[in-house]
Amino acid sequence: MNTSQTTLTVPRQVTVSTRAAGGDKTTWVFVAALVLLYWVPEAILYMGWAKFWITLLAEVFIWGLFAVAFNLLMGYTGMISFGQAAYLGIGGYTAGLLLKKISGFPFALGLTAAPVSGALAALIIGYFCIRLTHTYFAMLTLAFSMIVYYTVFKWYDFTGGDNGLIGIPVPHWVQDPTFANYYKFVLVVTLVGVYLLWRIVNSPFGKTLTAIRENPDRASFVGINVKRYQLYAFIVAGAFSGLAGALFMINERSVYPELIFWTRSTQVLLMSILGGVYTFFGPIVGAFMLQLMDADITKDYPQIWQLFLGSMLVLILYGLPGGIMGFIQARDIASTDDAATRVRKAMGEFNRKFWYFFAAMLFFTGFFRILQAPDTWVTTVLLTAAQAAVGVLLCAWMLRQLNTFAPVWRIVFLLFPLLPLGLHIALSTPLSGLMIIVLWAVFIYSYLWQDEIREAFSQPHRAALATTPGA
Amino acid sequence: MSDFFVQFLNGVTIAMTIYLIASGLSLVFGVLGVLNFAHGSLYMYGSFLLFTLMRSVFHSPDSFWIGLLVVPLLVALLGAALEVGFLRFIYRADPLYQLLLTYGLVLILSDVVKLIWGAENQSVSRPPGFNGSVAIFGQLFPSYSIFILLPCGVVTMIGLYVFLNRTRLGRIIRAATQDREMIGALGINVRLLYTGVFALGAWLGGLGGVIAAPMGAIYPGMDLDIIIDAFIVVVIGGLGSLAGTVLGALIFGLLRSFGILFVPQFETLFIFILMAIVLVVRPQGLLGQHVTSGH
Repeated sequence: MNTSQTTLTVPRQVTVSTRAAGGDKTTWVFVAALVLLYWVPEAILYMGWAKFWITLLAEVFIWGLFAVAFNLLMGYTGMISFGQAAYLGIGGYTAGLLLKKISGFPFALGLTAAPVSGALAALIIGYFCIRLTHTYFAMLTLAFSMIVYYTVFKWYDFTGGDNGLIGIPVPHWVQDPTFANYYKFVLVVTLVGVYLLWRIVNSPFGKTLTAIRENPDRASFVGINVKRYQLYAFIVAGAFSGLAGALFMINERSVYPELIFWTRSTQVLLMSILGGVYTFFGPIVGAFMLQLMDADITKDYPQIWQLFLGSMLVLILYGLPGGIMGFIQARDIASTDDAATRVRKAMGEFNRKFWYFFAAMLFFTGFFRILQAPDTWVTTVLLTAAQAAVGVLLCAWMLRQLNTFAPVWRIVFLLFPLLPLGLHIALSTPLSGLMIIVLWAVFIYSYLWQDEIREAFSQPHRAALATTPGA
Repeated sequence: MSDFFVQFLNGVTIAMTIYLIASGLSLVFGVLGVLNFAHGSLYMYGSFLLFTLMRSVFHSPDSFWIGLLVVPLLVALLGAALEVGFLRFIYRADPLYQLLLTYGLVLILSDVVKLIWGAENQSVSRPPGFNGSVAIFGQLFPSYSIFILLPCGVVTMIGLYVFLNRTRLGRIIRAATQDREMIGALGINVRLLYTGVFALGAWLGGLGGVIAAPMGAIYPGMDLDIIIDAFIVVVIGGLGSLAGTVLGALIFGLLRSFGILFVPQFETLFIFILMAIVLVVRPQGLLGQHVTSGH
């Protein structure tokens, strides 16, 4: 691992810990996600919140699937495509054209045709692209996606050109007025898609891709046909992107050439970077963050959305090159450390990152509240200051207790995010702030439930470790 | 014959505009190894700064000439600031991360334009004396493109050639495209050189923005429209090769103008197909040297 030749400034332990956490546990995470998320529309309707959130969430799921498919190329195989939207568009248009031009065409078959066409297109285009690397690869994928874009854009007779393909017939059950059925349909399809991708990246095939990313030369020395595997990765990414394209089509019951434009390819790139390219779930987190922040900002301030997004990108590239999930999962533990050192290091890191999350939460809620209600900015500033003061005292006290390794504190910490969560729901702060709190909870769980830390908490004599509070 | 010539001249006009932008992009890539997405933004700032200068500062169409001198320098300053403030810290990272960083700058700069100048289309008038048209082979051509755009393009082309091949600094820059570490070992201040080259690239982008401004609308979003075209040109010609950029720009311009004649609607498509073919058959571009590893 240390001898990796790529120069990305990303902690490589990230990938190791993802793999270690793999296995059957994650299958249950998928099942739990399905069960929990399945009832969200009912919850939203029951609470009387805007129905718009239902479609927004569905859209985020589709983006998440697209981003994970894209990340199979970028994060796992190390090929940054600037034209992934081509397969999104090909999938969407294939499904749309089949359903619209052939009356009575089975919906399920149209949906299946999308990943197939995406894979076929990726096979043809990928055959040429995989010969190139780095910037040249990026430029060629860009060129091909623009070829697809302009073909669709100009071929009025077949694709409707820039008018798009409108009024595509979809079954009645996905177009109910509250979009609840549509949401559930999208949820199931994207979860199945993401689960399949999870199985793929954790299969020997996926490991081979990671090996190629780490060092193509070495991979070829051990007998891997690098180009062929890169092509396979390209095809798989194309197939799932095509599926995501069909889902985009179903939402609007229409497809437009914008689906293929290159800015959409860069958007999925941004999501992956934001969430973390060296983690499996990072791109999904990125999709959530991007879409929720977009919803929070563009509602009132469309003119500063790109400014905000660009600043986030620059900050992430400088400060957190592993993205948010990379930040959560990175450990500075060396393989030579003994158990006590590991625990001490992990706890030091936990303390430090805990404060980062606290600061990020304050910033996000404060910033977005001011955006939403600029008139009451004085109140917001005072509220945030009060929150900061109380929070600093509370968190400092809690972290001191945690460092005594009394088992109960682990539970207290896991439940702790419920406090800010409840506070924010009560104050009806923007969703982006809530997102940070959820990530905070994920972070707490991922640190305190590691084997070493669990052991330290369960054995009282390890309390001696507690002599090193803070970072 | 005259039809052919008219289209040819049209093509050359397009080529000159895109050359001014693409040359800076290619130069920066050659030396810094960064494909600068934000180059289109620098072009856009050139246009908008000229707009401010002519409309708000001097209130006269004559001030175009002042703008031609001053605005590219301002854009060069902006470029130097971007290099010192952002790019400098990321040269060691993967080149594609640098590309992403410049894309972040594109997003930031495009919204700053909207905040400063608003989202509307703007325009500036052509300098007095160049409003009309001239007849060439019985066809009317805007005198602005014949007497300002073409000479400026040619002068820049020759100027860059002379600068890079006949001056000491130019030789250093060319050497830096070959081997950066060696240049540093020879006692050249590489940081300063990088800032200077980036500023020069920005100057070219700003010049392109100034010259293109009187010919069309000035609007937020012109950065994204131009940057993809510039990518095509440098990729066809060869990333980092200035002669290649000239050739790429000519091919681009002529394909555009003759494409409209023969295959209207699909001329843009052909340009992208050509770009793909070049990348597949000869990734280093028509006049480029070897594909440098790591780019």
